[in-house]
Amino acid sequence: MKILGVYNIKGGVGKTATAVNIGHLAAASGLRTLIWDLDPQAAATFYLRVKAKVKGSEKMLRGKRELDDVVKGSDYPNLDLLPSDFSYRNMDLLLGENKKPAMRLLKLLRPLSKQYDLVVLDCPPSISLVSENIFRAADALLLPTIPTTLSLRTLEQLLDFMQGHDLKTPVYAFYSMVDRRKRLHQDVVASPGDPRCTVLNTVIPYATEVERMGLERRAVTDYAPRSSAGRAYQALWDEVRAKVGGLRPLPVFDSPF
Amino acid sequence: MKDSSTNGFLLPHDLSPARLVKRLGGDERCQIDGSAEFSLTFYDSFDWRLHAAGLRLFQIDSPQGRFVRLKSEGSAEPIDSVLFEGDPAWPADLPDSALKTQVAKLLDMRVLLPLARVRGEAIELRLLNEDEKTTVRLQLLKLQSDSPEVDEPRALWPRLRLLPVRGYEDDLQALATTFSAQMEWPHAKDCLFDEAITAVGREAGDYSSKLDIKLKPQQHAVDAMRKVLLNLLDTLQRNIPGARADLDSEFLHDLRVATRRTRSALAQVKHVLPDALVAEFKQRFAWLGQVTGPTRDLDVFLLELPHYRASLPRAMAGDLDLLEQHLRDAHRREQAKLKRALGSAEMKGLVSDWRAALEADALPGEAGWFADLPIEQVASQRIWRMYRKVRKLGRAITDSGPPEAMHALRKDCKKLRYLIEFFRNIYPDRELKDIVRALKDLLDTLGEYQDKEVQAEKLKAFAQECVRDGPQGVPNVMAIGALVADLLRHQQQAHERFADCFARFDSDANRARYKRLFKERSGQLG
Repeated sequence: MKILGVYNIKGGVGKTATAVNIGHLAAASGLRTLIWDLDPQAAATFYLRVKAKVKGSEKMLRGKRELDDVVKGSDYPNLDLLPSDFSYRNMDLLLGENKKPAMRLLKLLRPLSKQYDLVVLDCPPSISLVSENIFRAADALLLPTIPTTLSLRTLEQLLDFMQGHDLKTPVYAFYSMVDRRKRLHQDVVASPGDPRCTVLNTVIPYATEVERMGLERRAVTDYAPRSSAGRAYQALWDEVRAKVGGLRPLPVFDSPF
Repeated sequence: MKDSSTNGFLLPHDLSPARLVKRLGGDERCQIDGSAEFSLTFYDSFDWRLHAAGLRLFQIDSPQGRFVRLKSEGSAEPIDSVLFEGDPAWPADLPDSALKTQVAKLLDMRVLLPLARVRGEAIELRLLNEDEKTTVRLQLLKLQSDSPEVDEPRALWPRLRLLPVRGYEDDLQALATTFSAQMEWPHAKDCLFDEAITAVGREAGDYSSKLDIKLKPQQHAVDAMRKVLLNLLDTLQRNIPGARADLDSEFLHDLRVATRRTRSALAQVKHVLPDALVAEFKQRFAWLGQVTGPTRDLDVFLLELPHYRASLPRAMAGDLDLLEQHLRDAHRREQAKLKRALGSAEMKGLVSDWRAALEADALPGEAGWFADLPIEQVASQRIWRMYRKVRKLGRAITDSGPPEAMHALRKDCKKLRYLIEFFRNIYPDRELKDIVRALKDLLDTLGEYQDKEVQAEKLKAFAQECVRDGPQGVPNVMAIGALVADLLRHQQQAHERFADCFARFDSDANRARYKRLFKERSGQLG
């Protein structure tokens, strides 16, 4: 089982769209995939048409309830969701109750390793104990980054934090919501990135198809796979899969008998 | 979802996907996603070894690929599935897997044969809740039997499968309840096995080499014997095509056992069938025994070959390649002869004449003296006498006696065993069990003794041929020498075991059983 954290300190950079589309493509390729919506805003949960839980996850985070019991199947074969919960807004406090708070998520995920090939963590913005948990649990971090000065500053902040905490998790940044008409966007995309992280080749364009996800409540890669955004997410998934490695699906024996 | 029967339903033949959607609440509640075609071929050995072990093996051709799957009867979850492009035949050819290990162990020397094929279309549907979220997946399966044995494809019952979506199991349960309670659709068994097998006119377990002939103790001996002999003839005939095609070595083996049993029945159950009939068919079946012998001997050798190799040090195992080549060449020649013999006019005549005689209103010729006696009396007397004969022969065997005495004893033991097998339904099962066990042990020991000797003799003869090849034959001769030594050691061990085995057979307790079961039922014949 590989764990991929989709993260950025900043909000509104396309994290949830990335998590849902990557999750959908992974599942469609035959990987048993779980998306864990860790953001109390519950956007991934909404996109996948699952009702967010109002409470109850405290028990799960305290280890009194199995993750297993909370998982919901999505509309897509092979793709399950661990829905968001409003109590996630207090997740820092809940995690802080544990002996090794920074390792809590990894411990919770471990029992799922036989059931899933890939777990995608849709992380809340900000930098906190939750983020540290994610950095420690993930095999790789995927960072959607808007090519603006402010956004690049948050990327630096993250890399500083990781360096300071001696975190070696590979960071794959990619430019998201790129508007080719904007000179600034073009310049940033063309410039060499921070040497402490890998900048992926794929660029996700700013596109109305992605915004329509809220109306469609489906993955772009499902309702508009041939659109520029749909193709970009496919390219992103291909790149991520190659970088992370070990994500080869077993043959799917999906038969009526 | 341990037992899938709760999630599968048989549907009315005329229920189209569109009507199903309507019944499930229309387009807003149920969506058709698409469909895929697939086919399914069930496999087992000719004698249903997998079925007997409660297993189902089938190959699925689907858009996801071609794979072989093993399941337990009545279970939804497969034991194992493997991708396999070819047609399954020998378990050894399947990819290494739990499936292969389990199937190979059960099948032993038997080959997998396709039993029945089903073609189908799976139409995928989804049930949606008020958020248009999928809560249950459904598969509507349209199926038809499509086997070479049947002229026209035959429609099987359409099925509906409910597949759970995680976290929405209650929705599935509610739907299943609606189907069974309101629509009154019957639950379907997990896998199509029974329906598919019936559609090609077969019945699971419809062949076994074990005798299970239903007889009544008071039935006239002549009628019982006709039934026994017809049963043997059926077995014999059913094995002819497989033996001719050499699908696996068991067809010929079972054919030969049926032949030996027939000859034994003719010779041992005296004064029941007309003498002239017995004399004629004893001879004709002796011919069949003869023409099938050489191929069987070579089959035995080829089956033993892996054991031979394993018994030699690894450095020498390769020195048996020449022997293997020799055996395979000889087998090819003998198999061709066998195929001709089994397809000959003589063979066809034997089978049809014998069937005509056994099925005639009255047997041709003068009935034997015992023909109208109850079979219980006649069978019991024959078994009792044969038991006494075996006992007498066995007691005369000494450690230093000639091997021929052991061989003669084995022959009579086999006759005794056949007699017991023909008539076993007349006798109480529980008492017969101990008798059969002691006899089987004795026969196994005698068989081991004789088989090892025969094999050693044949290997020696082959070594002579190798000697004629000159110096390059030396490694072969040496490997065979090692094999012969090993065989003779086993033979000697069998001889050493004999005394104990025979003592159990000849025990007071066993004698009392024979007496109670057979002597006392022989009436005035005893």
